[in-house]
Amino acid sequence: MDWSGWQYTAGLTAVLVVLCAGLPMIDSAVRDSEISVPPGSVMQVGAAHPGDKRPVALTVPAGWAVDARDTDLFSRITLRSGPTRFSVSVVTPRQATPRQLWDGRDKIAVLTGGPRAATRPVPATTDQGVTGLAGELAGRGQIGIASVFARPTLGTDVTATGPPEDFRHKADQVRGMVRSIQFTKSAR
Amino acid sequence: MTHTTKVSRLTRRSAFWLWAVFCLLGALMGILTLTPYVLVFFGGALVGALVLIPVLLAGLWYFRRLHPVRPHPWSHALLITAWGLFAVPGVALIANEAFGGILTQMAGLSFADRWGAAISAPIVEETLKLAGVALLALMVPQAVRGPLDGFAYGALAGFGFEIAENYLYVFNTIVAHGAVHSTVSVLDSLIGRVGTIWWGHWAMGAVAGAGLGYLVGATGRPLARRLLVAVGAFVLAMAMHAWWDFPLLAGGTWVWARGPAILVIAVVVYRVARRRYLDRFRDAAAAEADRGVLTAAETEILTDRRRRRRERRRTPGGTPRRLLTDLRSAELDLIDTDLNDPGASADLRTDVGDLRSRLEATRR
Repeated sequence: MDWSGWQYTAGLTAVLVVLCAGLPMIDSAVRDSEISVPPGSVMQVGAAHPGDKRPVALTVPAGWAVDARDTDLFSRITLRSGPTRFSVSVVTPRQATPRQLWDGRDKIAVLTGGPRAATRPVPATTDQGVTGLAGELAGRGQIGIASVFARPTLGTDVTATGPPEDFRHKADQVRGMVRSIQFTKSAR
Repeated sequence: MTHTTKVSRLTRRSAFWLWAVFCLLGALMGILTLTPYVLVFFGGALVGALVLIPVLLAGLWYFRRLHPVRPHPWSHALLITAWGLFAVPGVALIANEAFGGILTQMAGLSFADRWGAAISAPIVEETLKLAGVALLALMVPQAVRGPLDGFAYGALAGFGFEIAENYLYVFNTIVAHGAVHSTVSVLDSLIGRVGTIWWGHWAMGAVAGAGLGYLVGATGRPLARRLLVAVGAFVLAMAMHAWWDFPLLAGGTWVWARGPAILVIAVVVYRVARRRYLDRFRDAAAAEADRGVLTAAETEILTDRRRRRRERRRTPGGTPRRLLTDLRSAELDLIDTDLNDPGASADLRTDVGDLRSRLEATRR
């Protein structure tokens, strides 16, 4: 073994270890997993436009907090209330119907390992009047609902799941959040 | 300069094992991350691979040859490209996510979303690319002997990473488009990202690599000056990366303001390094001609790859052509050694003399 320059190799090892182990450790130590949200707050998600306006908004009821580890405002926001979670993803297809988005979410669910659809989807509408499809989810000790809403070039994919007892208790809040989803004017 | 690298010599170096471990872990992580996506979106995965593999090979071919006198060895080019393809994305995935989390905690979700990429990616990714060039310099000490070597290997580290990142973005785009018409999403992603490859990761890696090459190779200069140049080049590379990810210049049309500036900086750095190298090369060749080691014609032909190729073609095949190739290679090694380690040139002068005598003997 040739040990010349070992001190430089050791230095590089330290740099690489800091990047792939040190930073995650600092992240785990400092990051709060949940960020509380005042009841009735309107949260926006999707790529930011000038003035920090994002294409999709929803109203958060009391008792829910943002799951910072599973939120990236550019594309997805995840809220938690106890063991029940509610996740909204913004998608930007070239052109899509709710049916196409529903089929797409099925493929993505295979990748994320989340519960699969237990029922055929039925039409759903937000308070704003955006149409979509919704269905029930079941699997791995969890139940929930999934829904998709689509304007041709903008869509949302909502997944809400939790343990059966907790989810049933919060089902009305979940449905209320789904109905509160708004597509901003510029995104129509 | 020994222009090839023996595997046994390589594996004796601790830096090689660091390179190998991180490349292996990065490749493993890539396989585990991407396999489910490939299985679900097989058509998109195939289209992505069919486009990106030829682009990778074209970049490898081009950057390996990015030297005015002779191409960089395949072995060195492959070592650094593998680092960019496997190790850099593997570590960057972990580090960027952690960095984003820390930013979220410090400045909030909205700030982290807008500024996260412009802050974390330059620090994490430029460090990783440059670490690859530094590892190459430690694995094969004669590989990085000046800014031009650092430039090419930095470019290859960046280019390898760019290809890996583009493949990952193929799947990101499919998901971002709702997994509707996945082939259209793949083409959207590839057109957008491969179309802007002219000023991508390679350019920033090249600039930082050139600085490291100066630090390692310009041993005749004071250490403080070499450190200043290396740190300055690294900071410039990070600034170029931050400029690319700058959120206030987001959007398609701004690409044409951001990209060309990055390309111009990389080209200027290359031209400066190239001119400096050729000046020194010509001075060293003239000094060898004064010593009687090289002829006046050889000092010209050595700096011109095309003339050397023509000369080889005109030489009869077999022993004469092989001896000519060896002679030119020994002469280039001699000049490179003159530039970096003049004390080691004596043996190479003897080699040049021997090879010339044997070549002339075949012509009689």
